[in-house]
Amino acid sequence: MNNYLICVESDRELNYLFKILMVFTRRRVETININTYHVEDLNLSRFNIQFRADEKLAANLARQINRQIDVRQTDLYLWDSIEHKELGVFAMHKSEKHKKATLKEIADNYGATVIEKEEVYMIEMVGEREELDRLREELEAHRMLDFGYSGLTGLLNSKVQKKVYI
Amino acid sequence: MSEESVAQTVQGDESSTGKWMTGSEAVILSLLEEGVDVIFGYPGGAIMPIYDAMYHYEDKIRHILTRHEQGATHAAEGYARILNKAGVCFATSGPGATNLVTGLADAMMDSSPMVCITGQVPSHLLGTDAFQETDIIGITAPVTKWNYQITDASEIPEVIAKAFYIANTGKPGPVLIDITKDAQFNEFEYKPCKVSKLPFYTPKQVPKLRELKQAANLINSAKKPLILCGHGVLIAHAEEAFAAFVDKTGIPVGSTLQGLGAFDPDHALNVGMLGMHGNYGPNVKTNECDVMIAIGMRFDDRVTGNVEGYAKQARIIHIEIDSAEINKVVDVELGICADAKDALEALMPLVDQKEYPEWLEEFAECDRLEHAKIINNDLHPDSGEIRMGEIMHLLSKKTKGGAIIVPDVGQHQMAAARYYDYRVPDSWVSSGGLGTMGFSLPAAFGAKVAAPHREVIAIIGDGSFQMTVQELATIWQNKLPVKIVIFNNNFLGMVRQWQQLFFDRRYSSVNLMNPDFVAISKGFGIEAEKVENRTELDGALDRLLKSEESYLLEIMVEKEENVFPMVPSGSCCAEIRLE
Repeated sequence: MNNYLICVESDRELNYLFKILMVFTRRRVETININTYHVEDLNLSRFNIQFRADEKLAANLARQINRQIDVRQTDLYLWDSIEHKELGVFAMHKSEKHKKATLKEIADNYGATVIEKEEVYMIEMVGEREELDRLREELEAHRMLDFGYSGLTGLLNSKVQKKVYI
Repeated sequence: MSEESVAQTVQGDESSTGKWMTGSEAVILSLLEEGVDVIFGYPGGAIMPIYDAMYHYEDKIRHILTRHEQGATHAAEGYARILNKAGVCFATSGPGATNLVTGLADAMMDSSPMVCITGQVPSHLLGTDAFQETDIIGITAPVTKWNYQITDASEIPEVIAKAFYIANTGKPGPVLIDITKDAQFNEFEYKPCKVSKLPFYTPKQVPKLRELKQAANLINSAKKPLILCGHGVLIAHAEEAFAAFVDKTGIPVGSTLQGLGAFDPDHALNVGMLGMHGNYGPNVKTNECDVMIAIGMRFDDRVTGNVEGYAKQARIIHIEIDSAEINKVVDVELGICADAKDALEALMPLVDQKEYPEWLEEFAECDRLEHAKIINNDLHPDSGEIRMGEIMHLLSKKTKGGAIIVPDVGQHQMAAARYYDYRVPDSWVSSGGLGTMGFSLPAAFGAKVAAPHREVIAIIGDGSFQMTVQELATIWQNKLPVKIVIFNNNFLGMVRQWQQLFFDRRYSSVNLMNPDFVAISKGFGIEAEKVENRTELDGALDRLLKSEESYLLEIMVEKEENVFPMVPSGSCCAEIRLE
């Protein structure tokens, strides 16, 4: 079993995700992470889906997705061949007790950024999930109001990537 | 849908170009543009504007009003399977649309081209649980090759052209177009459209020379090769190329259920049918061949049995138009993603002329065994009740193997597959992948509409018949001379067989207390008779075939007849049982 990333490009809207996910559901393959975005001027929707499977099944899934009429292209990558990051955003209570300097010190340790808003401090960090989780745990002690993760985004880390199928 | 989304659209018939019209009229004109002259359907509130538009084109489009939307889909599939072009269905929104689902799934499994058009509530009511609103796009996504909802009338010409292109090309399949009522009513400037290419959609790939050479090397060096002939050979119109390839290579051929009719049943190299109730030889020899050439098939589990024990000794070449089927079920040494005809024609000059007399003799030995154990008794029983095999054998002789046989699903289907000699391609119209009971009656009149000059015989079990019995009215109203043969054993026969063999004869809910089928048929205006004794059979079949109108024959068959050979569930195909 390996971790894989399937990158699907379609000219349908992001709602098309449901049809792509049906392929996983039917084969009872659980996805680990899904990231989608739409680029309007390119009329392009991109779906990045991380999942765990053996090599044969992963290739089958990619082919089954690729044959869908509205799919422009499907690429399958071994997860390890992808540079993947995630954005974490943390909203912190803003008061006398919770000084920006304290938060900045914590943020600096993680390479995160503190942005001062009218009612809150926003801390943003790009990194791996484990790092984001550690930062979140530390910030919880300083009245964290809310947080959000973007979901993993993978980018090719070289021009020559190993495509696993076809 | 944007103009740019279809790479190449060309102007079609320009006589109506630039004319302002409703979306509904555009639907009809777009269908005419695609050469549609028959539609199977059932009207209702959300599709009434389209039916109203069709009223003005009655001289150009024949509408067959079925008695249930499911019947419309099966009829469209029967039509499509004969003509190898998309059958067309109309249905309204809500229940009308959901009633299409079984037929769509059936067409998807058996690669039958179909275009279904459903009406939908006005776009401002979408998602509000309006009367007869259902998310038919969501519902049918897994059972269509493509589906699309139109909310803007101006999309209609392009989307319909795209629908037909997708349904008919590559691996054919069903497409559903859902059109909101406002899009049907709204007017726009009509521009006829044809689609001959789509970006990122490659219906078929050109076989690669490197792969063909590799295949030829494998074939030429084989000692015990076996060809598996699937439905893809028929879809690709590759029958002649296939026969030429077989003649040259001398390789024995086993057919899948859906591949019946692709290869001459009398050919010395035709070793019979593969699969759960196929012939003994090709199933056993699957696990003895050294090179397997699978053409236009997808290694359905009814063909392979337990895949863990399937042809492990063989070097497998898989020629298949759908790349997603290659290595999906069975690991192959060489996958050639191509249309069967293209691949076979390209392979021809690369393969050697050969013969395998000893290998063929092994099939002949299996055949003798199967005749002794099963076939002789099925076809020529000394006494007892009528057997399904002898009916099909008689029908085959009387029609010289030239009729279109449309079986339903169950024991009678297997008898129809085993004991009718399909001498004409596209003569076997059966629900293979989905196994839809109720398929036969509507599919048969769909086939009859497609081929009015050919004999079309529906072979139906007593259970199956009652699933779509109302379509007798469609047959009667439209004067479609379909012949109907009911094999009546007062059982759900195949389920009963399994209960007998694998559930210690605990017959659970398989007994059928049947109505008077002859009276029912006559009530629908269709002449009918019942056969209870073997002595009556020959004459009754003659009357059936001589009738110029539809005719129903109810034949009482052996109550607990079992279909053998049989690959028990969970076993590998080579473990096929003769008793």
